[in-house]
Amino acid sequence: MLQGSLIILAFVIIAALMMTKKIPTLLALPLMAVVICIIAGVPAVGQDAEGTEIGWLSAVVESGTVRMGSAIMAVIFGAWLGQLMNKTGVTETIIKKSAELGGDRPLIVTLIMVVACAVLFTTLSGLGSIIMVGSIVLPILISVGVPAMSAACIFLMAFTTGLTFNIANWTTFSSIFGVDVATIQSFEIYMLVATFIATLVLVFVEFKRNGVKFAFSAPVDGAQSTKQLAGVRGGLAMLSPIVSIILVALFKVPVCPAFMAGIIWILVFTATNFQKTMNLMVKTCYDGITDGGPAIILMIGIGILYLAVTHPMVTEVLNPFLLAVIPSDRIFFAIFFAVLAPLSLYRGPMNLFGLGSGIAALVMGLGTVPPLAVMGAFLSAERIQGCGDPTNTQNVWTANFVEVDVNGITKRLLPYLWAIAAIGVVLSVVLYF
Amino acid sequence: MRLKDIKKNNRSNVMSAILKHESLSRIEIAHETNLSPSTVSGLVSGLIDEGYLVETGARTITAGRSRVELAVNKDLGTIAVVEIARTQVRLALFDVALGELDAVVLSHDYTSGNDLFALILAGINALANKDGQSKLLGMGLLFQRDMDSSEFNVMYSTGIHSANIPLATALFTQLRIPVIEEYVQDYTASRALERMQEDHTSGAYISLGEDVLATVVVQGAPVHLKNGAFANLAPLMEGVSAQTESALAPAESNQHEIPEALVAPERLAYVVSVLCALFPLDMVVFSGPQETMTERFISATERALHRCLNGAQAPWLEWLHLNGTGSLSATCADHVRRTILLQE
Repeated sequence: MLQGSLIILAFVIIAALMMTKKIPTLLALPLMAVVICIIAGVPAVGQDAEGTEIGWLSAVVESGTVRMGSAIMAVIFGAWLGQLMNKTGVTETIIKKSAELGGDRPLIVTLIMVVACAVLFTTLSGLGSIIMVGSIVLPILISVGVPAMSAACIFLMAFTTGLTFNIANWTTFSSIFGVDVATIQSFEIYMLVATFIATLVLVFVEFKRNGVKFAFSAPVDGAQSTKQLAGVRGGLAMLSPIVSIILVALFKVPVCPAFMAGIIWILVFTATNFQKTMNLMVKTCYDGITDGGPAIILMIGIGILYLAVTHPMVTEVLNPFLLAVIPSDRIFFAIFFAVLAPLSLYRGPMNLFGLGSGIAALVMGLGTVPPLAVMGAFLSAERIQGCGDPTNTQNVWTANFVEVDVNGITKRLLPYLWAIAAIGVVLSVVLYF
Repeated sequence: MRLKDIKKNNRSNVMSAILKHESLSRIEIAHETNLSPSTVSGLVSGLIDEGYLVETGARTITAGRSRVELAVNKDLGTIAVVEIARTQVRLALFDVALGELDAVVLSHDYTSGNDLFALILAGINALANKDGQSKLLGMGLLFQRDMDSSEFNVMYSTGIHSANIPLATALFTQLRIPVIEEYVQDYTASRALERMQEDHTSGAYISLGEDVLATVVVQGAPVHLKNGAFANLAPLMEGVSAQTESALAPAESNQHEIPEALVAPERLAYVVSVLCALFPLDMVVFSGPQETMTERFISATERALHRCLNGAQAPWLEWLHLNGTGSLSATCADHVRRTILLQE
C-alpha cells in the first residue's frame, strides 16, 4: 500500500515537473521509470531463479532503449522520405497543383487543401514539414478569404486527419500496445473517417460563421519557393506519399521496406543527374535523422518507462490501485475514457507520447479489460493531443505564422476533437469488449 | 497557360531584363524580351505604380528618339546577407540596387544554433533601426567552405515539445521573408561549370589573369577548344585594334576607362562578343583577382559588351572573386533579389 502510494506520488510530482516545463520529457520519462523501480524494490542489478536479468539497469534502462527499435527505425525512414518529398519539390507541387484545381472558389480551394494536407501528412512528419506545408497552404487559405484563426484550425485538423494513416505512427503504437500494425490500421481507419468528417464539419461551420466571400488573389509572396515538378515523371513523383501506405495497408509489406520503396520511387521520378541524386539521397537521410531526433529520444524514454511499469515487481505493487480505478464494465469504461480523453493535453496521463504509454501498458496488464479496448481508448485520446495541445510545436508555429492566439486554436478545436475521441472510445467498446 | 500566368511570366521577363542591365528604356525592354512595346508599357506602368521600378531620369537615344530609362527602385527595401564562417559572422545590408548600405560583424567566434539565430535577429534590428532603413525584403545565408547548414539547426521549443529546424527556416518563421542558403563553394569556377553541365545550359567561363583562359559549355557539354578544354584568349585580345578599342570606349573618353587594369575592359568585351557570336551563350562567368575585378572594371566591361552586341541579347554575366568575400555577399544579395523580384 505504502509503495503504491509512493509510486503514485512520484508519478504525480514528475508529471507536474514535466507539464510545468521544469524538466524536459526526455529526462522525465526515464527518471520516472527509475524512481518507480526503486520504490517498488527492484534491484539495480539482479537475476531471477532462471538467470534472467531483473535489475532495473539491465531489464529496464538497457532493454528499454531498444524496446521501441522498430518504431525508431520507422520514424527515421519516414523522416527520410519526408525530407525527400520536401527537397525534390513533391510537397510544394502537390499543394500548388491542388490549389489550381480549386480555381477561384474559396470553399472548393479549402476542401482540396484539406485533402492535400491530409494525404501529405500520412508520410510527412516533424516541424520542418509542418512549416514547409503550412507556409504555402496558410497563405492560400487566407488569400481566398478564410480568416486567420479558421485557416489555422482547418490546417491543423487536416494535418491530424493525415496523421491517422501515418505508418511511422502505426509502428510506434504497435510497439506500445504490443499488437501488430494491421490491428492498429484496422482501428485507425475509423479514426480517419471520424477525423475527416469532423474536419469537413469544421470547414462548413467556419465558412458559415465568417460568411466567406469570393476573394481570390495570388498566393502571398512570403512563401518559401522550391522547384515544382512537371510532366509524366512529375505526376508519378506526386504519388510518392501514397506508395508506402499502399504497400503497407494493401499488400502487408513491412513498414521499413515500404518506406524504402517510397524513397526509391521518389528518387527515380525526380532524378535529373546521378551524382546529384546520390548527394540528395545522403543529405536527406542525415537531415531526416536530425528531424526525427526529438521523436527518437522520446521513444527511448517511452521504452524505458514501459518496461518499468510492466516489471513484475512494479505491477504487483500498482495493480491494486489500478483495479480500484479502472472500470471493467463497458459502459463505465466508455464514460471513463471519453471524459478523461483531454488528459492527453500537456503531456498528461492519456498522452501516448509520454506518460500515457506507461499507463496504457499498466491497464492492459491488469487483465480486467480487453487490451484492444484499451488500445482504442488511448488512440482516441491521441486525437485530442494531435492538434489540440497548445504546447505542440505545430500548434505554436501555426499560431505564430497567422498571428493568432495558440490557446484560441485549442478552444476552437477541442469540441471537435473531444467528439472524435468520444466516438472512438465508444467504437472501441463496441468492437473489442 | 492561363491569362494571369502569361501576365506573371511577362512581368518576370521585364524585371529580369532590367536586373540584367541595371537600367533600360521601354523600347530596349521590348527588344530584350520580345514583347510588344504596348505590352511592355502596360507592365512597366504597373511595376512603377507598385513601386518596383522608377524612371531614373537618364535618357538614351534609340532610333533617333530620346527614351527615359527605367531601373529597379532602390528604395523598395533592403536585402540582408549573413556571411557565416568559422571565425566570424558578418551581416551586410544592401539596397535593391545592390549598393551596400551597412555592415556589422556579429561575432568573431564560431557561433551556431540558437545563439546565431539570436545574433542575426539582434543585428537586423540594430541595422533596421539605424538611419531608418526601409523594409527588409529577403535574406541570404552565405556559408563558408566546408560548412553544412545542418550545423546551424535551431531548437524550436514550446517548453514541453521541441524540434530541430534549419536556421533558414527559423529565420523565415520569425521574419516572414524569403531566406536562401548559399555556399561560397557555389561561387567557384568549377562549381559554375558543374552547374552549366547539370542544368544543360550553354555558357562560358573566363579566367582573368596573365593569360585569359576560356572554357565553353554548350547545352551541358564542354566544347573542345584549341588547348583541349580551354583556349587562351590573350592573343586575340592583343589583336584588337586601337580603333576598335576606342570605338568601344565611352564617347567622353579617348582611352580605355581603367588604364591600370591588367585586362582592358573593351578588349575583353570584344572577345566575349566574338564568343557570343560563335556559341549560344546563356551566361558568362568571369573569375579573377579582386584587384582586377573592381566595380569600375566590371561596369566598364558590361557597358562595352552591350555596345559590342549592339542590341543583341547579352548573356547573363557573373563575376567571381578568387579572394575575399565582400563581392560574394553582393552576388548572394543578387540571388536573393532575383528570388524576391522574379518569384524564383
